[in-house]
Amino acid sequence: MIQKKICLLGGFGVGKTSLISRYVHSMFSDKYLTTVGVKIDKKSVTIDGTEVDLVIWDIYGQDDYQKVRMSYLRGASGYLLVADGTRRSTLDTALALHDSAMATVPNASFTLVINKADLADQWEITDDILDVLVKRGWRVLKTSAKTGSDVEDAFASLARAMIQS
Amino acid sequence: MAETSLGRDDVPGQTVEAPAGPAASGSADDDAFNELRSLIVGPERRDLRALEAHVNDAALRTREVGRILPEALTVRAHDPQLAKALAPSVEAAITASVQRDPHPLADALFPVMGPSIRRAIEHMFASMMESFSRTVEQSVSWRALTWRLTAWRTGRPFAEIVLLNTLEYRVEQVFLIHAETGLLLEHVSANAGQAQDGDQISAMLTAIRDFVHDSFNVTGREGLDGFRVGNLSVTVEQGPYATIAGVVRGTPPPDLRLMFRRAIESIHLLLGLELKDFQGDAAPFERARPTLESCLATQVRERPKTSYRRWVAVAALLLVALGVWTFTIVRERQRWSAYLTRLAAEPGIVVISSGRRDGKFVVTGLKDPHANDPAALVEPSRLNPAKVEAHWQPYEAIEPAFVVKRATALLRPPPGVMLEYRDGALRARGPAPERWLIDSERIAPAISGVNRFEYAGTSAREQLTRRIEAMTVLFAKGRAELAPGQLMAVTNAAAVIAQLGEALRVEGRTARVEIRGHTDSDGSAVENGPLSQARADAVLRVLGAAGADSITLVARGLGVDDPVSTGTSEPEKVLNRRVSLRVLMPPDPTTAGSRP
Repeated sequence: MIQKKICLLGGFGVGKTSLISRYVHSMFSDKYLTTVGVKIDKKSVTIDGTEVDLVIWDIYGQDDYQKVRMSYLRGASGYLLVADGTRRSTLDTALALHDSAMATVPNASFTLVINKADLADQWEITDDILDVLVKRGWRVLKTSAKTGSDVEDAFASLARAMIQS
Repeated sequence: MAETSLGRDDVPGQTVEAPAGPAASGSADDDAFNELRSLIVGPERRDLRALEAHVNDAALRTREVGRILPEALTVRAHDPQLAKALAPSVEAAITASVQRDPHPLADALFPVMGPSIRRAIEHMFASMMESFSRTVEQSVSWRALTWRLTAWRTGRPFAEIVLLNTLEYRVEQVFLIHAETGLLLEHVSANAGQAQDGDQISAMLTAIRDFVHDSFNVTGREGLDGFRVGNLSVTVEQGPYATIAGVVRGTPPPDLRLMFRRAIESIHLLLGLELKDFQGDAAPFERARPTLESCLATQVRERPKTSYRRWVAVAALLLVALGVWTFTIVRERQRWSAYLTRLAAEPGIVVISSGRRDGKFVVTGLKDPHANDPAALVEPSRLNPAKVEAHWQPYEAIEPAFVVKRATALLRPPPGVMLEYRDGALRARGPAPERWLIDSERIAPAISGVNRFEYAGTSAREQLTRRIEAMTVLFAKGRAELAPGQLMAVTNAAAVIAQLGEALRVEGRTARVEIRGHTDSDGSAVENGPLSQARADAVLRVLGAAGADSITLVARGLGVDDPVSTGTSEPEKVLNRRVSLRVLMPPDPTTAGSRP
């Protein structure tokens, strides 16, 4: 069994916390997010027979990404960039956060998660944009915190990438 | 071998002259060769032989090895290999020695083991005393009662309340956290059942550290050293690659941080490489567990020594009080038992029952009025008279001593008279007046235990008889009238006869008193007979009715018969002109001969 630290990064209201609330074990309440700016959760996934304990640092999302405490990223093996499919700006925030994260943890794996797949008809983020990112080698997944669709996959793919890196 | 090789082909014989004939020349060659050989290799051969003998002589070798062995061992004393090689033999030797006789080894180890055992016993004893004192304190003290009340009120276990109140501090959990990732490397807890998610806590601690670090612009590796919430604090000690965080309940002493500091240093020393290359696998950090566990210190609040001593003193006092009480009880019972034994031995006292009632000793029984006072025996027995209750019923003891006492009280014997008692007879000894003997003879049979009264001496009757018969009334020559001086003698005789009459009356007997008249030898029998009768009658007239019913008085003239003296001188004749008295007692029909 190995442990990995991962972070959730994303703008305000992209559904990071909703994304994990159904899938993780947490002993802390959400108020930590607004006070300390981070909340610790834990999730176990099994990748190719290896059990991986993901210690998830859910970092409080703000649209002004400069206010996000990037020091929380230190030591992370990977991070999920979360954006809200219905708001284009959240993708920009995510990309900006990615740039900041790269400065702190250049070797970390990451996965871009576009949330709210259940509201596909309202999406502002088009597949064209995402294709560009995929072509850059990014892992991009569409999830729905509401239905649970592909949430597990998001964590699993990140974990796999971290182990293989 | 050298010899063989020389003999075979390495002979330096080229310069030797050739022999004269085949046989003779061959022999001469051999001799020469041998001589040459002995000259060249002789000394070496001797050396070789000596060496060979030396090598083959096992006893010699043994001696030599024995000589150099101690030196060899000393030279290699610090060689671990030597210790390793010797260990099995030494172990086997010790085992064999113990199996053969354990005493030598025990004796050898005694100076080492004695002090150790003593220390262990002292330690155990101290622990026992401490535990005893603690138990006493936690069970009966006022403080313990309030704790029990708190436990009852809050519904928490008593042990927990005690711990909370007596705890100086206690390191409950220790986290070893990877500095960069905040991942938990190892976690130990004082409570085995404490199930908290160490991963999340360690991450959160790291997050908090980062939060403080960022929020207050702390530079370098400086960071959060700890924080405190109420009674709980977290002490953080950081190393280059890992952080140790201890959750402490209570007030940690300053040296706790030093302990954590040493722990994190020793972990870096032990697992530096693993920490540096940490990729998420915490398995190697299992090895840090003992170090972390050594940080799980607990310090119970130091109680003042006096408290411990106080309880010991209280216990000792209680023991002393108990001992004194027991001693008093036992001693009192022993004294009571001794008192009862004395009572039982006391004549005239019969103990019927004894026991304790209402904190008092109670005895009931019978007591002769003449027995010693039982209450007087209480104090000599060293009993408290107030604690002794006695109930005595009177009775008359028939032991001789008591019969004598009773008789003495009743008869009041005159001085010089001793009373004794045997087989129902009360016997008096010593000179006793007739009057007392007469009274005693009458009263004694009324005394309990006395059937009869005996007098070991002359009886009153006999005494009176002797006195009566010793009396003489003298007359003038030829005269039968009482001379004036003789009247008194007759009056005295009358009184004694009256006493005899009384004594006889008590005995239920009678007697006859003969009043005998006598004359001297002068004159004729015709004259002397009537004269003597007249003299007897004269005395009878004076005696009158002395002796009353029990004595009959008879006057008899004996003439010249029965003279006091047969002499013819005038003084002798005077003694014969007289009246004498003789008591005649008929034999006693009932007790004749039984009295002394």
